[in-house]
Amino acid sequence: MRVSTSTARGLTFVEIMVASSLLALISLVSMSLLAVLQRSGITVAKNTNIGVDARRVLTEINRDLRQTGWAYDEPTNANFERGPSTATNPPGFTATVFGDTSLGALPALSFRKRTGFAGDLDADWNQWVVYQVVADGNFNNVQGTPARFSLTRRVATDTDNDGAITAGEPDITVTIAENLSRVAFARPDGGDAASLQDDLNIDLTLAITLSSPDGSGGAPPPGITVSYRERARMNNLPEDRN
Amino acid sequence: MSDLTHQAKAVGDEREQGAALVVVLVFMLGIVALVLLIVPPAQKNLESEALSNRRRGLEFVLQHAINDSLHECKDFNDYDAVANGQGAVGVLPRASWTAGGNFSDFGTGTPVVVNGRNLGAYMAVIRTDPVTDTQVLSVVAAFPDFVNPRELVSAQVQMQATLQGLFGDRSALSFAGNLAGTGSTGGGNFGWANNGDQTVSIKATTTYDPDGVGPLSPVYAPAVNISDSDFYDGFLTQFVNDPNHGEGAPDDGLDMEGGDIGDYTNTTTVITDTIAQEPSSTQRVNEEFLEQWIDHWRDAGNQTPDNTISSNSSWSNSASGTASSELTFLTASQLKSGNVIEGKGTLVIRGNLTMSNGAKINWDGDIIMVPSSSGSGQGKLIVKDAEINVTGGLVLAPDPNDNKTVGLYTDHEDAKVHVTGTMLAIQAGTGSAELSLSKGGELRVDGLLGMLGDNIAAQVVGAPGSAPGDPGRSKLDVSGSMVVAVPPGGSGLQKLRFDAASDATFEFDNAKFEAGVQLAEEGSQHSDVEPPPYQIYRTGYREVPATTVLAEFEALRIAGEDPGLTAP
Repeated sequence: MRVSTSTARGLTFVEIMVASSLLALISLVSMSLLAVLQRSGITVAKNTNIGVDARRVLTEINRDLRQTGWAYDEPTNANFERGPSTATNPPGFTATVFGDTSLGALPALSFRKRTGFAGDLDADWNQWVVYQVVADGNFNNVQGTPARFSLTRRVATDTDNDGAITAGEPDITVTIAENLSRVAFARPDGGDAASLQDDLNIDLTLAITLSSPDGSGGAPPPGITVSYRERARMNNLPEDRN
Repeated sequence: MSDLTHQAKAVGDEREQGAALVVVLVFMLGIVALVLLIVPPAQKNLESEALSNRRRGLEFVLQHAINDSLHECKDFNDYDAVANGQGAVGVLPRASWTAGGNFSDFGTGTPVVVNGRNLGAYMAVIRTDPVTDTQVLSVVAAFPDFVNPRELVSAQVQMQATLQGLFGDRSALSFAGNLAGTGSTGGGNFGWANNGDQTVSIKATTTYDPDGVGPLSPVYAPAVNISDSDFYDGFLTQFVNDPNHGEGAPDDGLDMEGGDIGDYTNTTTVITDTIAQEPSSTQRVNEEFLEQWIDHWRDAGNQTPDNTISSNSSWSNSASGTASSELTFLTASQLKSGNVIEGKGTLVIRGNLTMSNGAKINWDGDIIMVPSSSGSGQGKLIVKDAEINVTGGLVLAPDPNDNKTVGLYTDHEDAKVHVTGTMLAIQAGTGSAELSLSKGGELRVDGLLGMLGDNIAAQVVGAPGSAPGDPGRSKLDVSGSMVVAVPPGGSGLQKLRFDAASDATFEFDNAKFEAGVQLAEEGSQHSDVEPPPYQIYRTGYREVPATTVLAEFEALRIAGEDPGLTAP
């Protein structure tokens, strides 16, 4: 009976080993789970930031485009275009390039905004805005090392309304988005000026890429890319029956 | 055995509790990590989505408010009834709101609810700028409401009512739109005969008072304003720089050019104060609008008349129409000696009508010329030794879907047509309009003479050899403004000629001009006729700080300004 009693109070070596192994196994699984959760959390946070950034950028472009359009000139609308156009660009400013970075272009939107109603219907087009896509190397830790771009916004105000931006007038360029894997600016109708209403719309495409959290080095996995697409409409019209 | 069993149970219990604690701790740690790592970003994501959705919703409210306000202006047909330059739109409660009041009627704005979901509310005010003849609509939208707004956005829209835009220039003579069809580079349908003895006098008042409150801030009015650059060059070539007409003044040795003051005599006399090529606000004419406007006038001819005048010989004096709302049809083809028609309201003349031998029409209201409904009939009003006096409107309204001409022709040295108000030649589609003064005769317009469309021809020419003062000289006299507006894409104005033995005078008069425009806007007064099209064009858009706009609204409310809208 004594033997039996002493045996019940202790643990055998085997039992300790089994318990330790189980504990190690559980700890390993737990730590792995924690690591996955941590990476997942970081990715979610980054994705959230991407969404916030992309929406902010698209909202900004959209607001600017809403305030551009056409100055009034009935016979020759095309010559009085103030909205994004390859035909008319403010002097010294980037020409508008409708295009897609995935097709090798560096798109740019160059246009004027109407800032006031002090004069007649063709007055106060004195704020010039350029959205320019800039090449920014490559995503090195993303499979295929795709090209990387950033987007800048230049805003200049012709305060004296002399048709040029001169020294002393506000002229600021700011990078508003980075880690872009694709940017495209397009007219839905392909730029067919036959339809003014169609030409008032511009499609904006923005894709931001993150490197995958699961690896890097010589053979990185594909990145995580989130794409946003939005149609903006210019609201300054020579003639818009409401 | 009972002891052994008890002890074994006790040992077993101790092991289970220890292992469970480890497992529980590990999983609790995992759950805490999960909460710490997943929930905050997810919460941030949700907040971002919610904010984004709210802002998108508010942008929708803003755009909806703009469209709603524009429609409201259109429906009310008057957004500044008390003429104080500002009116409120989007005011609640609309059902009980009446004209007058003040901007306190804004209350908490107009809510926008979609499928039970509140997207926000808006307020809107429209102000008129008398100088540019434009209105600025200011709209501010708030989420969830204006009592405790969490988001505010605001935008302003510059716009113009069609008719105001159509007659937006203030010049003795205003040309706008596509005028290429006139042959402005020297074609025979534009200008005058070089060997004629005609005079053309185009004068502007030096200034006019845009708001009618006194001599403050007078605005300079050019004699002629031509928005189309090609037509401007053609006008200089044909009317001003013609070598037959001598040099410009001041006598600088150069041909006359825009801005010169001409006062010289050759075989043709030209007196032109100034010629401007300014971006014109008289350019919002388009084919569709003209067609609607013609339909408005022509619609009077489709109604059941209150009176009909068909005989041309059995009566001597017809008094028709005793009220401005009455409609009278004149279907006679001739008015001869002793035939006098007098009346009020709307007089529709269908088909050709020749007036001679002292016949008279004295009309207080609108005379509307429409083409004959018969196969080959036109709509030509030929005035020989006869007289027409209209206080109101004389409108040439050809059918846009019928290849017929509606015109006014003076064809005798004793022909007299006098319009106090507005005379309009409107054309669209396949119809055409003509205005021809020949063999003497006189057309005098005190107010507005509008030629709107592209298939329109106008000519002033007298009896050959008639010297100044002779009865055979044709006279066109406009005191107010003559507006020529041609829609884009058409063939252009067909003819505008001032030929031999004629005198044409255009002198800007702001009061007469505005009275003429008002008559044109009011249209036919017959109650069964649809009101003339009143369309708002959106022309400018900009986004502005909402707090600034709200402060302006609050200032209006505090000042007790009248919103100036008639009740819906």
